[in-house]
Amino acid sequence: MSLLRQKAPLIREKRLNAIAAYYGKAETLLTENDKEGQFLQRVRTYSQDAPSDILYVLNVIATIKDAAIVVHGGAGCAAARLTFDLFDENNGKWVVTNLNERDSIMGSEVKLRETILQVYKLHSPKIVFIISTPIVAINNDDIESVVDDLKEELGIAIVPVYTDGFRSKVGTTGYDIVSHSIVKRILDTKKNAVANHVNLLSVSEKQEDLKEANRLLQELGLQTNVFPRYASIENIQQAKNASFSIAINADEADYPGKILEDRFEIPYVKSTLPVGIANTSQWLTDIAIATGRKNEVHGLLSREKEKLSSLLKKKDISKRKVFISLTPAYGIALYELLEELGLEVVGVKFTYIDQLHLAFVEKIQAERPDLALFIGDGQLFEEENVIRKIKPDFYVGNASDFAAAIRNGIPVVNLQSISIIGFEGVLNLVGKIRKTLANTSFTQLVAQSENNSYTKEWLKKSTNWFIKQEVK
Amino acid sequence: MSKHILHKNRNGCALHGALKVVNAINGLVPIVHSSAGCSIQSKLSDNILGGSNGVHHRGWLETSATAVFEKQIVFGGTARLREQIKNTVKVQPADLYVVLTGCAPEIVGDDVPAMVKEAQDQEFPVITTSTPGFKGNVYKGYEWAVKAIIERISYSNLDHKIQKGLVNILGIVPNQDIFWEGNLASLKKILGSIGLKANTLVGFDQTKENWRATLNAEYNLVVSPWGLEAAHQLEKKFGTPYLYLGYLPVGAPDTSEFLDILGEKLSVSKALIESVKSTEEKYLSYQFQKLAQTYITYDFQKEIALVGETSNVLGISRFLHNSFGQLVSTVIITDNPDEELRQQIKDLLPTNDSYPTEIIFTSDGKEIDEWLLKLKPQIILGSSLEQTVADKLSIPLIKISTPVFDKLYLNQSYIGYSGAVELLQDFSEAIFRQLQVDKK
Repeated sequence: MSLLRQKAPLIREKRLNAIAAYYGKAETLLTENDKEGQFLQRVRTYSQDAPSDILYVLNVIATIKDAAIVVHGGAGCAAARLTFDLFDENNGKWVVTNLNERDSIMGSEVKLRETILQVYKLHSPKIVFIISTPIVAINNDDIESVVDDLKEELGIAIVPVYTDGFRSKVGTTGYDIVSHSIVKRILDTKKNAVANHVNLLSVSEKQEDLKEANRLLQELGLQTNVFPRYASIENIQQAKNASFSIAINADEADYPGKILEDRFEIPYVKSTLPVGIANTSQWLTDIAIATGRKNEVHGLLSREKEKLSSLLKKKDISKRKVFISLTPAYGIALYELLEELGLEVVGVKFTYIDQLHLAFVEKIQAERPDLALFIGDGQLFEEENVIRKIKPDFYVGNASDFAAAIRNGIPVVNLQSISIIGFEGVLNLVGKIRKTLANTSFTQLVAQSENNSYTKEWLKKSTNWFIKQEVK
Repeated sequence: MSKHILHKNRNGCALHGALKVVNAINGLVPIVHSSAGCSIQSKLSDNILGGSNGVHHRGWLETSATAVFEKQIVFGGTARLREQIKNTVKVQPADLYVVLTGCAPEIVGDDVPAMVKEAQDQEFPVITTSTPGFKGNVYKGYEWAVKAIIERISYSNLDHKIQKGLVNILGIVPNQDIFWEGNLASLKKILGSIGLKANTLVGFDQTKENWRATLNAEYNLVVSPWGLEAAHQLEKKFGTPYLYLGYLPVGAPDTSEFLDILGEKLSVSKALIESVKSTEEKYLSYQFQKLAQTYITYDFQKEIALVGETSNVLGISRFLHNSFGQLVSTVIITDNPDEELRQQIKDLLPTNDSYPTEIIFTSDGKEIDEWLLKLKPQIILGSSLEQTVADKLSIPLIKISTPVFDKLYLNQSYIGYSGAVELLQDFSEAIFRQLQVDKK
């Protein structure tokens, strides 16, 4: 229960020693702090905007079924909500309290109450999420008493999600806040364990990712309950009845895995991200061992690998220089997979790293001591600075941060448009890379226009020029 | 500004409006002083599918931002802002840096003007405007940013010399009006056809120089309520007269009338105007003739609802009623124009005695849905947020306002003579698609 006692989880910086700003050798990172294995915090003295915990929260909550969303803040705090309306389960079931100057001075409890009542009347949701924002957090407006009051009155789950936009520099903290709020507020304590039933912890996965993960787990004879992404209220309640929790992305599932283990004694099986042949095999093996399915996994792995190797034979993409820019779990798995495929990784950028990635940092220190680790969410000014110096053949990233690559004529492989999970994922990735490199005329055309994004002085400077150790 | 809560809110906050302006001028660089994520929210709401990303070589993750954290909220963020301004100048080249403030530093009470003054004393070209979301919506943010940029750039231009035929275009909010870039290009073309030069101020190829020229314009053209403030400012400061059209002209007769008014005010040769009008009108009516058979066969005459900002909604309503035989039953204005302008907006709407028009001012998605369900139009011109209602009523939806989820707008426009033809094509497509759906 201890983790769940507070209204929001500890920020990633405090819980896992996460850092969001660094550029340099792995060795420095590992040795500069007197406390062994603890990274030093740094800040940027010039920075570019990055998604806050609020955006990370919206990204998950938009997929939860039977829910309505109240963004409790100024109208702008819900502007991005429009984007999620494209894809989500709760199309149109969201509202912003639209706080004005008076509310920011006098408080907003009455407005919040009125809003929840309206949302309830209009959409009859089973869950109402209240997303807190900077105005509410700074003024310390009382959300809790409104929630307590209405929970009784309406008889549905009303879940405050305590985001604020300024406590953590690591947006992923927002993912932790979602799980924290759901487990703390929705799950009751009655347990009714179901055999063969496992939680598949998913926070940011796409439907295609889950499809492949589920396909493989079913081959092992496991039935999954996906949580918290895409969950319905039934999935959420089921989460406490599972016999194990399995992660796809162990970074993002770390917190829900731990709190479910903490509160309901559901063993959390830690493993790698199932991306690439070696990692997917490892993932399935770890799960098979934990769930007592050792025999089943051998057959499955040899079948899958055989199928894959015959399909991969004709698709050689080796010997190219690649720059990776991703979240840590994906970045690390991709690093391993691309090396496996014979490519040369010339740069790695992760949105953040923390104690969960210590082994990788040590591996880089041992195997590639000269490879710079680049840590930052967004911060394309640094990416432009690096990319111009190391000139990769192509770039692998998410749809959000490719601008520096494309305007320098470097083809972009956007992982948001495909699933790279599991054995199918390897084929998807190789196919996508081949396709991208087969015709780069669009990239070349975009790169032709004048590029005056950054000063020449900056582009000549060392990449970590603006990254300084935090003064306490 | 509405005090009410907003379901399915379609408009961002003041900071977003100001960012949209600054980002649409080449050589201007915003510095956002707020907690993390504010500019990302704005970029995500821009033309949803990303039409503006990377304009002027700035992707949506490239906004200089203090991204203040807990410490700077507790102890104040001015030192962080000072550092950010000083370093932005070193990293991002610009003619002018514009510091825009978000909610958090405004509540805390950071003395932003003092920091900007300090930078100005070092001769850095930096200005600021206060844009917390709790003080206004996206349109107000546009208004405030335009005012601040004019003040800084044109007030210091001592070379005040009226340039014959130069017309400033005011009131189109970049990336809020989904057609903004196309609308500006159309206005430029229309003005150009009678020998006038549009100073569009935002969008393609627009730089500090275009803003320097604002005081030398012969005339200001205001196409929405949101350009009025700047027009008043320029009139007071430089004596520039303005025309408050209040809407964007679509098809004939509005475009023709528009040319007449401009021509008269700016003494353009009558013969030239007549010749442009007759060529364009002839072409437009030729297209109408081509359409007539289909119009009758497939019953193109509908009861219509429009949802969107004043400028596009008024312009399109007028065209649909005055030239296309449509019955405009519902007009929902979503940009919250000031109370004193609302009567005038109503007066600009076409009227039909046997089919009265219901006009509503709201940006609340719930209210909009309720009105549409109640009034049961046969076609909606609105945003993607109206899709649910359109589906419920089994009627077509044509996109004319933000947000749009299923199309990227680069240069489309429904205004002027050629825009009207464009609109007719999309109108027919929407109706035929619905017929296909109904068949199934």
